[in-house]
Amino acid sequence: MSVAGETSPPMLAIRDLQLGFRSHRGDVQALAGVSIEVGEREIVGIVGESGCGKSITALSVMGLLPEGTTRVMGGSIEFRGDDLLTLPPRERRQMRGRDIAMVFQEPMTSLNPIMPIGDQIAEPIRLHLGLKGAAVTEHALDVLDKVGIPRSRNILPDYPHQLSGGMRQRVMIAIALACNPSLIIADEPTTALDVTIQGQILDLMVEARDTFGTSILFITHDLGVVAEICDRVVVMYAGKVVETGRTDEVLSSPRHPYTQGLMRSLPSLDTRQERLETIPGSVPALFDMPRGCRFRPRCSYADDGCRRDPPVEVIGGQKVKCWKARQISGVHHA
Amino acid sequence: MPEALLRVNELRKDFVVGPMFRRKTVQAIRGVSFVLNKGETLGLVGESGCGKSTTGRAAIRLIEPSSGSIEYDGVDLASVGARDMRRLRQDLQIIFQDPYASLDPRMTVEQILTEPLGIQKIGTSAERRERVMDIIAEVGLQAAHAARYPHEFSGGQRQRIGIARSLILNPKMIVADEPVSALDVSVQAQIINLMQDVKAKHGMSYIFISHDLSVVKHICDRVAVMYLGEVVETASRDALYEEPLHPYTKALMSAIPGRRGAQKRITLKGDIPSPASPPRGCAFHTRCPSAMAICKTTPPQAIETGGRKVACHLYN
Amino acid sequence: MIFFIMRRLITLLPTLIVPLFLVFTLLHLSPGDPAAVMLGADATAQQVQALREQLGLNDPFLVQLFTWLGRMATLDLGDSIFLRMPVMDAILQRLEPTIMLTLYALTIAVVVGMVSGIVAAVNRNGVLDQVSMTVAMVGVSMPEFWFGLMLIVVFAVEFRLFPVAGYTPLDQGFWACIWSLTLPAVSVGLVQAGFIARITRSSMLDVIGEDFIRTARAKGLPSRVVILRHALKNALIPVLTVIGITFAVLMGGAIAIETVFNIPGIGRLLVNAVARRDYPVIQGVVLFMALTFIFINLFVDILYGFIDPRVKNQ
Repeated sequence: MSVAGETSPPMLAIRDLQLGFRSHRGDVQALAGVSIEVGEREIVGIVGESGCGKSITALSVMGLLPEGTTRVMGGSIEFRGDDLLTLPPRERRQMRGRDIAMVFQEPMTSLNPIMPIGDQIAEPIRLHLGLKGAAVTEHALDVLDKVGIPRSRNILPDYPHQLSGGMRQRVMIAIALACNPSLIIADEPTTALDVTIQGQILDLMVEARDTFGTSILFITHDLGVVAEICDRVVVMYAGKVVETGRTDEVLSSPRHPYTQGLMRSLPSLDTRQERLETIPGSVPALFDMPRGCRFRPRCSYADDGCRRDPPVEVIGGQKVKCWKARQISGVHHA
Repeated sequence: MPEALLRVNELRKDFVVGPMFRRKTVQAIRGVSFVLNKGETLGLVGESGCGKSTTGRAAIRLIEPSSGSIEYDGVDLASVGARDMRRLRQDLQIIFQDPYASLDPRMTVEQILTEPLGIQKIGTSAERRERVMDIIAEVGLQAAHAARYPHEFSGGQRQRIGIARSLILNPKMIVADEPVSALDVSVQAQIINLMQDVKAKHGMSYIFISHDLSVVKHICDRVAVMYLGEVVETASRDALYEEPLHPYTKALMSAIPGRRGAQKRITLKGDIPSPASPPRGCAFHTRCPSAMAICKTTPPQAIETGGRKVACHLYN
Repeated sequence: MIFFIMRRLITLLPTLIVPLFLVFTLLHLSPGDPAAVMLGADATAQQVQALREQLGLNDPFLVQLFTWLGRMATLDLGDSIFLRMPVMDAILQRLEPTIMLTLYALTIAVVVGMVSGIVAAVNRNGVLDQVSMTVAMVGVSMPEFWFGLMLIVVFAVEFRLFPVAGYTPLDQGFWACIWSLTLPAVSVGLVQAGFIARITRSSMLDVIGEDFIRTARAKGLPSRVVILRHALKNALIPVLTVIGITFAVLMGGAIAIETVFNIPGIGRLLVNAVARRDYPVIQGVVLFMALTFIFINLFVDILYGFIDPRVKNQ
């Protein structure tokens, strides 16, 4: 789908990923065949509501799934052509922070509270770049400068609680960028921040892509943020991908009933509505998934045919996992 | 001419924080004034530390204001005695952001909803039960839910319980403190609709506290924008969104992500200063793209222009 | 940092006053005339009167209090009635065995407790976890003197590896001293180790679940580094409090264990003083223990400041 994908293998290709989750109510399927591609220099957004599996998808790419309770049951995660799931644990660990880095939602709790900022940035630099002594400090100051914390404001001896929320997230991004990774996974990096600070951080992420050519997998629940920075978007619902496509296309003409419902239930700044449209009901629990299309019980188009697993329809540039996609869009079978 | 329900004048709240010997005073709100009209929804917007939550709570005296007055129903809420306050409490209710944390986990929904009626000594037990069941139906829950405990509900349903609790005493006004911020988009829409429905039916007023400008635009009639413990601009919804006057409001509006057809985002430099040591002069001058010399020394007074208020030296 | 320590010292003052006052009133709370009680039934009226003069019991209460506080300020704890020597000298004479025993037991408690706590947390719900926590549970529930007696029966009487009782002073060699204290130190130390192990485990588990541990793993750090550099230091904060308390418990435990093993320490001094109603000695030892406890806690507080920057910047 990505432009780069046609000539070379994409940076990241998650193919039919299945993930099991052990709970007190038995084993459940947290991800039921998720496929996502991220091309070179591309920012791909994953949107969806809580429990849709977007964060767990990110953690499975990083290899940071909670041990003991979560298990990959099938599929592959190819990074520059190699399947991460078959790599020996040691190699996989060494890729973390060097080739694939991650930025988390809560910059306050994601930094070690009792370790100076400088030491926290230095860790991946020493580990992956093999630098020592003064070179490490130089490199750390360089990276901080790139995320908008000038050298003159040396925060290396400071502790996280001495910084503001926005500064802390800049530090997290600096840690992620420290070894110039090919891919950054950002899990709701602006959700905990104020709106004026959020803008600064979004600018920073786009800048990182433009200057270092980093690909970014951006996880968020906020369609506004997707519109702002993502080239392509993946919409997830209840452990499945329901729609993918170019951001402008998906947001201007959503084809899956869930994407449509999501867009309509957002209060608009441009038009005046008396009432918001809603999606009836709520997200099904993992241990109580409907058969076939998982959106069926909440979908106004659904009929008995939707009890079978829906196919992926390709409409224009969009891929839609829905029996009714063509009917809804007024597009007929070719 | 709209009729005022609540008049807040020069409200202040100081918190004393820090360990012994190093106490310092944080001025959470520094002279906030606004009017809430009957049947109106007033939005309080701003970023963290702007004092919007403190303002909402102090306005119904859930926390004691340090100074200022709150005129309601011919009395000053800020100085009224405990006994009168308990009577007035019926009229003044609140909905919290996190319904789970604000519902007693060991009480059933019915117990949670009956408790306020018991405290205010309203009705016989049969009447109370009937009232509770009516409210449960009104907020879109089922009768069977009455016997369940908060942990058995989803986030959206819990917020319905929170709304039911605020409605049970038939209040004149409800402070809604970020009521939909913790909810998913599809559930958020359900709760916003519910809040509008119950208002249409009972005709109470809302103070709607939120950091989400799209939600505020949808639900509010008038909006007060706060920054570092002060109201910087108050205007009707349409006036504010069509033509924000205060530079902070402008930046806030332009920062809404994904706003279609919007002008280039005004990126504010730097961080929000600590409420423990707000800048001198205009509190916003450290980040303001239009700051002038006077802004560093003199705090601007709020002036009225065309039915709206703005506190900025640009308009003096 | 210096300000932080100063502040801690100042807040300590009220804590000092309470034990001082309690110890002083101890004498006055005893039923009847303390002088008569101390001298026993055979004492003549003159002897009682002489002792009352010596103890200052004829003065008004407040005068007595301030005279006593003045003496305390110059570290004058008075004279023992029975031992015919200053209380301070009696305490100093008996100090070495108690300090050695407490430090030895504390070392055992901390090393065994923390290592097994960390191992248990890292292998959560594994065999090592189950085994070490069961042993810790048994340890916590075991009375120290009984455990001490069992150790004597097995290792001293049966296998003759250690002496049955007694103490070899430090000036006869460090290892000889350690050897003589091993059984008593193990009996009090292991019991406390169980306590420390349980706290270390739960504290480590809390920290391992934190977001910054995930960040550390996302950097590609090996598990060993994640655990030792990031988790352990954070987990240490609550454990430190427990170690401070353990120190106090060990000093208290010394009273029983010094009797079981016949060690001439502070504990024995106190037990003997109680038996002989030697009030100045009782006062002196209780005060000494209370002050030690307070200063250990001050030390722990200051350590907090070194480990956790948030504490001193508060």
